[in-house]
Amino acid sequence: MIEDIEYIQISKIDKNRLYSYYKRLVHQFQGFTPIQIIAKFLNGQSIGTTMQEVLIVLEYYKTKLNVNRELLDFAFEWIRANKMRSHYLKYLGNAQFPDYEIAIDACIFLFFQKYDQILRNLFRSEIEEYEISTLYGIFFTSLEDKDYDFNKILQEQKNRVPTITQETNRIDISLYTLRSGLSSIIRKDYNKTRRE
Amino acid sequence: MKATDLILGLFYSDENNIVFDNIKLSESVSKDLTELNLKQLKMLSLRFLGPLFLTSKIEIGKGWKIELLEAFLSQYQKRTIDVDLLQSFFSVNSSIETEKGVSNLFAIIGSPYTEDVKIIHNLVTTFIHPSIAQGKIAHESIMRENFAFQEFIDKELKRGVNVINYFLGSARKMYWEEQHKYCCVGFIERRNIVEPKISNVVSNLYTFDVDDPLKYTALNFIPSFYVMSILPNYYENRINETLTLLNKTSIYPNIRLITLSNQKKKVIYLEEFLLEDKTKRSFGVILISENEFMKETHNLAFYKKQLRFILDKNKNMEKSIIKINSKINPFDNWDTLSDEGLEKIKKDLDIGW
Repeated sequence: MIEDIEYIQISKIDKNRLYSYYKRLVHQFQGFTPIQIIAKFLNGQSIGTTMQEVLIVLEYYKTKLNVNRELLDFAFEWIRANKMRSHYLKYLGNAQFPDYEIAIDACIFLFFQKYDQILRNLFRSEIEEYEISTLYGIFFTSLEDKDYDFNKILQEQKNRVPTITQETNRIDISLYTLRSGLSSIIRKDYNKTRRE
Repeated sequence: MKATDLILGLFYSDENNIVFDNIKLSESVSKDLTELNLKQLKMLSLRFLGPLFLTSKIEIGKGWKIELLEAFLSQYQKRTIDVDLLQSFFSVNSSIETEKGVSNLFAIIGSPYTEDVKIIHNLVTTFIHPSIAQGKIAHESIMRENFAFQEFIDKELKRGVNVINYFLGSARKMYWEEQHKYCCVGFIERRNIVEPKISNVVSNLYTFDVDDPLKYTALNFIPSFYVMSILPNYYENRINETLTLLNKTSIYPNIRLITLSNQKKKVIYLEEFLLEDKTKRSFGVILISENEFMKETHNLAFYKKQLRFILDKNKNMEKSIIKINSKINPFDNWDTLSDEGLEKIKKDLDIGW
């Protein structure tokens, strides 16, 4: 597992700098709705190929946020995920995995298990597991992968990842959720690094 | 040369104590292995967990668990050709308790490198075992009566073995936990003859006086003095048995570390050894985390240093015990080899208030 200090470096984002950029956009685009500004803000951070693509995700998850969290917090996490993706890709490129299955396990263990705890803090406890796994599919997909369809991913994950409760307690299947959301992404990235 | 010597066994026991396994052996290890040897190897996983199964209450939340067992492997002095290149031998256990019972994931690993055991421990306890437990629940929920557990667990154990194998060979790191303060509640002196094959000659426990209040306090923090006394010999013998089964006869084990836990309680047994003229002298300390009742606490490096002083610089053992914990009686030893000695430990030391 990556040591705490190293992990902080990998996952650290400059929220102050990002916030002043966001504020600039608020002044600049006064005719935009708050959600459109967040989409514009994310586009400006190289997230999503179009504003519409980002808007669909924001619209869906805005109702799932924890009471003390805002869409801007969600946007920060998307940016953090983007930063982590570059570190994970570097690791994947340097490590010599004998096959993609080991790459999936090693990367989830080293990079994504800790991030899961951060991400889940954003949402209400009622969020479904497939909604979390879908988000992994969105947050960590390659920017070059233009053919992703949010609703299609959501439907696929809904069939694959159950939310299980026993009496009133929710059963932790976070590692299963992580695998479901990330396996095909890590596999694609692994194959790509092998070809390069 | 056998640079690729590797033993990697992963054993999963479910809530009904049914054991499933996946064992990966390098070709150099597996080539002369008989079916019988392999069967015996599978049985060994249960014997590795044995002492705690025998003595602890198997009730949810009340059992002591073995977390980690680590040993150095040394070459017998006379063997210079056809040597076995295994250097580390360790086992890691993870236990998960649910309302249905306890499941264990247990790994036995022999590797040609000095391993970063901590990373393997984390991998097994925080990733592989929870993945199995969660995967089982999720698959049961989705597939209901069509869920084939045997197929699932075979796949999971294979995956687990492969990912552990990938992480083997990582360089050892210094972890911040090593700076924690611990208190010594027992000191074990052992002497073995290592050639032609290992035999125990002397094994003594030193601890608080029978009527010392600290003895009663210590009992709240360890499984029992009996269990702690038998662990080093027991595990050294189990590792030896494993190595013999796999025809690894040019090496012998030396216990380095045993970690046990029971909810928030943690016990560490730390040992150092020295081989002189076929006789192996080992000294070990039984350590518990610092607490309000015990004042004499030190970090692991301190204990290691004191043990090395006795071995390398012939420092007086009794004086060293007093330096380690002045409340331990260095003059009354408790024999931990004979049945009578162990009975006496149970009868006199393991009785609480």
